[in-house]
Amino acid sequence: MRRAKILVTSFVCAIVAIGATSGNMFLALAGIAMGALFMALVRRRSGEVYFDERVEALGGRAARATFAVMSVFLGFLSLIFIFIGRRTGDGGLEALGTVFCYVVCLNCAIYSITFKYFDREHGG
Amino acid sequence: MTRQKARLKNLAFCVAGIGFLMLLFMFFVTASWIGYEVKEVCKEAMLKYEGDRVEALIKLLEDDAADFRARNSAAWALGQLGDRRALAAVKKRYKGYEKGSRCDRGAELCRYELYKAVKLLEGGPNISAFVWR
Repeated sequence: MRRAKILVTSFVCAIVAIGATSGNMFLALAGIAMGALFMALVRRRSGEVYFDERVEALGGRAARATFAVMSVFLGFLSLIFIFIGRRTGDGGLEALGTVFCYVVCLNCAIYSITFKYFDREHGG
Repeated sequence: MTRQKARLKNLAFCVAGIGFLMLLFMFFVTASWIGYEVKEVCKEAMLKYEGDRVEALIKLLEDDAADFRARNSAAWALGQLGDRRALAAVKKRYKGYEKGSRCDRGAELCRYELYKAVKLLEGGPNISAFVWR
């Protein structure tokens, strides 16, 4: 199963890359759709039960660490971009910094909502 | 059944909340992009013409020798800025607008662009302006 996953991911990445570089969005979308379909078929055929508490716990910790790192990194980056953009009069850089700020806010807000959702889901 | 309903309700709140946040995010990003574009048009105009940004944009709009794309952008930026000093200049060029009519931005002053600018300059609502003004 793991090999199939790696193969499908590589295939989807290659198709999306070819689609993006050749400017053919339909090819990229078709690659993603085919990958998803193939994964669903493989999963149904193998009939394995994929529930490993250790993997789930690790995934949760990795997701939280990614969230924390990316939020702080993007927050700092946005501040630097806004600061440099204002000092040099580069509107593009300032706008990019502002968009990064919004991305960080969106990240935090979605984290809060999903946290609340899972909290209720697990009887909180 | 009640448990199922509660779970569905929880899921619906979560999906609606995330959807609303996505929309809000897109609105703020679009508004920031509009602000950036307005500032760029102002900067270009101020390099060529004297005065503050509104005066420079008015001069660009009135300059018959200037490129039509730049003049259309000036009309758009004046509308976005909403400074009433520009109203007379924009109205002078505005010859009415018919819904659905097409415009070549590189060959003429677009009536739709002027129509939008007049509406905004006369105090029409500009929901994105509070983000960047």
